[in-house]
Amino acid sequence: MSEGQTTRQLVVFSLGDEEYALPITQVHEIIRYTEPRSVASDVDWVRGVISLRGKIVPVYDLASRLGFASERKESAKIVIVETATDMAGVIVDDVEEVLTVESAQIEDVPAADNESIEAIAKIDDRLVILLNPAGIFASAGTIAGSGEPSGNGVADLVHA
Amino acid sequence: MDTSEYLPMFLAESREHLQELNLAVVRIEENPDDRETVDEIFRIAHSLKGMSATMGFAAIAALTHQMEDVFELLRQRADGLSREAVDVLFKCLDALEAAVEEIATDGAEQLDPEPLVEQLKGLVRERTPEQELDRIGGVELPDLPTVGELVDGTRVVHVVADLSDEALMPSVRAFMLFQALGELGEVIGSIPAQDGVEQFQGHRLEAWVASDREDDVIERAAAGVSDVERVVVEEADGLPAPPSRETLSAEAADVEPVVVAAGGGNGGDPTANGDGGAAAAAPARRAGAANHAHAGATVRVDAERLDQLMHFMGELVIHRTVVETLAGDADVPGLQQAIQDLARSSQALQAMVMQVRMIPVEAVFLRFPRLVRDLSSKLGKEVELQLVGQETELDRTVVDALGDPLVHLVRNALDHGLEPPQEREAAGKPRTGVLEISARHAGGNVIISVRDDGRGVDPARVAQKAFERGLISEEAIPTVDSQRAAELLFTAGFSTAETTSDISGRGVGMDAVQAKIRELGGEVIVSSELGAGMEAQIRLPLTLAIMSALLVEAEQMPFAIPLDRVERTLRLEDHAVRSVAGSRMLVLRDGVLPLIDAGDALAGRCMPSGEAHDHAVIVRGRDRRLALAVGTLVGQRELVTRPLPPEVSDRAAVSGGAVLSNGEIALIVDCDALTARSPEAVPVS
Repeated sequence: MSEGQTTRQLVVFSLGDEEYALPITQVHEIIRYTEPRSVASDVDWVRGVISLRGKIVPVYDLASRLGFASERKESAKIVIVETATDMAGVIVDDVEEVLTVESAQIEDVPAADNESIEAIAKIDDRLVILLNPAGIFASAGTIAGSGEPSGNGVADLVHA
Repeated sequence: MDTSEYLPMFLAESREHLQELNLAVVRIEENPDDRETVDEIFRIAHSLKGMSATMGFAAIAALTHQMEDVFELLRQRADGLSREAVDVLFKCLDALEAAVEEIATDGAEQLDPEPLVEQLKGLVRERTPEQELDRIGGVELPDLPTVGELVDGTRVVHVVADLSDEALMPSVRAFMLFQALGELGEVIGSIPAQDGVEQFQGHRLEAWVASDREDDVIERAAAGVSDVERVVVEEADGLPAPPSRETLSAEAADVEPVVVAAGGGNGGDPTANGDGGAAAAAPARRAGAANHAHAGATVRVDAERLDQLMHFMGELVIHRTVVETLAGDADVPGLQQAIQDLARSSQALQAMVMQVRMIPVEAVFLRFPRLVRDLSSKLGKEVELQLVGQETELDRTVVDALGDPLVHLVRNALDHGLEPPQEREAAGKPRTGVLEISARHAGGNVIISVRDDGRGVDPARVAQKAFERGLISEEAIPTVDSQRAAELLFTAGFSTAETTSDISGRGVGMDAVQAKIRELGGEVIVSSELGAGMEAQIRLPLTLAIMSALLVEAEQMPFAIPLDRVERTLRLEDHAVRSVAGSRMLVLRDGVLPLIDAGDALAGRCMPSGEAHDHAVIVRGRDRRLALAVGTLVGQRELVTRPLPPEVSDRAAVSGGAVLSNGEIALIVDCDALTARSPEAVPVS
C-alpha cells in the first residue's frame, strides 16, 4: 500500500449491519447457503462441513468468528475462501458486489489485534472491513488443538 | 549443465538398485552357481555405476566400479565368494546407501571410497593374470569430473562402441576411437582408461565425452574407426545407465531421456528430455538395439499423480451417482441406456485405476533377506527366512506404510523369539529356526503375518512385567495366558527389551506397530504358544480409498459403518436393555454388550434425542464388540472416503467422510475409537 495508484479488487458482502470484504484472488467461489453437515468440533464457529465437488470443506460462521451473533438471512451465501494451504466456506448474509478500491482508500486498522481483520476501506460514506483470509484459518487451526476460544477484543473493535 | 532435475529420479533408482543388490548378494551367498543372479548383479551394479557417473557422483561410481571387480570373481569361480568378501560387499552397499541418503539431504556425496576400495582390491588380488586379461572392458574407472563444471552449451554424451570379433588389435582401436572422440570434445572418462589402453583386450569400449557437437557427428566419427561395428551415443545428462553388457531393465530404459541409437538420427535435439523425450527415446532405442525390445512396455509414474488419479476417480464416482439419481426422475428417451453405459465405463475405469495403484508386497519384503542375515549373524542365531506370497498386491500407500511395522516385528522375532542354536537343540528343536513372512488375501483384507518357531511368549514373565509397569493388577497376574501375554506385548508402555538393545530396542515398543497399523485402518492380532513360537498377523483393508459400508441414520444425519466391522443388525425392541453402573447394556443370547447412542458418540455432543433409536448395529472394534443405537438402517453403499478437515474434533469417533449421491455427507464411523472409549464391556463369549 505504499504506492498511491495500486488498486485492489474486493468481494464485498454484508453481515449483520456491516460490510465486509475479501480479496477477489482468494475467493474460490460463492455458493448458495446449504445447511452444512454438522460435525463435532472444538472450535465453536465451525458450523459443519459441506461437499464441494467431492471435497469435504469446513464451513465457518463468520459472524460468530468475529464475535457477534447473526440471524441466518434468506439470502445467505457461503463464500469459499482459499489460501495456499486451506480451503473453507464462510457464511455471509449476502454478497453485494465486486469493488475496485484504490489503495489510498484503505486504512490500517487502529489497534488491529484481531488476526482476521486486515484493514478498513473507506468508500464515500461506507466502511468496508477487509478480512485477512489467512487469519481466519490460522486461529481455527490453533484453537482446534487447545479447545480455547479466542477472538477477544474483536467485539470491541467491530462495535466501536 | 544442470542435472539437478534428475536428482529425485537418481535417488529413487539408486535406492532401488541398492536394495536389489543387497538381495542378490544374499542369494548368491546361499547359491553361488546361480548364473541368473550373477548376471543380475552385474546389470544392477553397472547401471548404478553409470547413473552415478553421469550425475557426477564420482565416489559412488568409483566404489561400484571396484565392486564389479569382486563380482567378476563370481563369474570365474564355481565356489562363489568367501564370507569375508560378502561382508566387505555388504559394507560397501551400506556405504553406498549412506552416500545416497547424504545426497538426498545435502545434495552432495560425502563418501570417501578409498578405504573400501582398498579392501575390495585386497579381495581381487587373488586373481591370476590370465583371468585379469580375460576381463572385458573395465580397467580403471575414468576420472570423471563433476558434470556441473562444464561450460554452457557443452553436454556429456556416453559413447558405447563395439568392436567386431575380427578386430585383431583392440588396444589400437581403442586408442584410435578415443583420438577421434577427442577431436570433437574432451574425453572425460572411459573404459578402458585412456592411459591403460595398451592392455585392453576386450570388444566393448565406453567413453564419456564432453562436447558441444551433435550426437550424430560424434556417432559418425566413432563409427569411422576401423573395426568398430556398432556405436550407441546417448545423452548422458539424463539418467541412468549406459546400456552395456547386460540388458537394462525395462524400467531403467524408460526413464532415459534421449537415446540416439546407431542409424536413427531422429533424436538429435539434446534439450528434449523429461516426459516427451522419454517417449521419443523408446522407439529410437528399439531401432538401434534389438535386445531392448521391451523398452516402452512399462512407464514410471510419479506416485503423486497416481494419488491425483485416484482423487479424480473418486469425484467421478460421486458425480456419476448424482447423475444416476437425477436421471431416475427424468423422462428423456435413451437417457437410461446412456447412464448404464456411463456406469459401465466408469466402473471399468475405477477397477483399472485401483489396479494401477496396486503393487506387489514384495516391495517391502525385499529388505528382509539382508536384514535377517545381518541380525542373525550378529545375534549368533541360525535362521531360515521364508517369504511367502510376495506377489500379493496391495495399494501403494499401504505398502509404503507397512515397512517400518514389519521391520519391527521381524527384529522382535529374531531378538526375542528365536533361540540360539544350542538352546533349540536342548529343547529338541532343529538348530535352525524358521522365520516366515507371508502375505495373502482374505476377503476384502490382506493378511500379512510374521511367524517364528521360537520360544514364544512366556506368560509368567510378561505378566510380572506388565504388573511392574502398572498395566495389570496383581490379582490379574495368574490369569495371564499365552494369548493375553502376546497381546500385552503390544500394549503401550510395555517394552519387551529390559535394556534397549540396538536390535529391537530403539526405545519404542511393539505398541508402535499397533499404532501404525491402526492408522492405516488395520489391526494386529497376535498369538503365541510357549515353546512353539509366536505369530503376529497384520490385517489391512485391500484399499483405503473406496469402502463398502452400511449406511445408517442417527439424529437424521447419515453415518457410514465400514461393512467389515458390522457383525449384524437388530431391532432394539426385540431385546432387553439394562442399565449397568449407569451405562446402558444390551442383553443378547451370546453376551452383554455396551449400547452406545450414535448421536452422542459420533456427533460429539449430547443432543436431546428427538427420535427414538429403534435399531442397533453390532460392530466389531479392535478387541471387543459393542452395539450402536441408530435411527434408521439405510442400506449398503460403496463409498469414496475423504479426509475430514482438521477442525473436526478428535472427540467424535469418526475417521472420514463420504459424499452421498444426494450430496449429503456421511461421516464414517471409527469402530476402534468407538470401542476404545466405550464403558468396560462385560466379558462376552
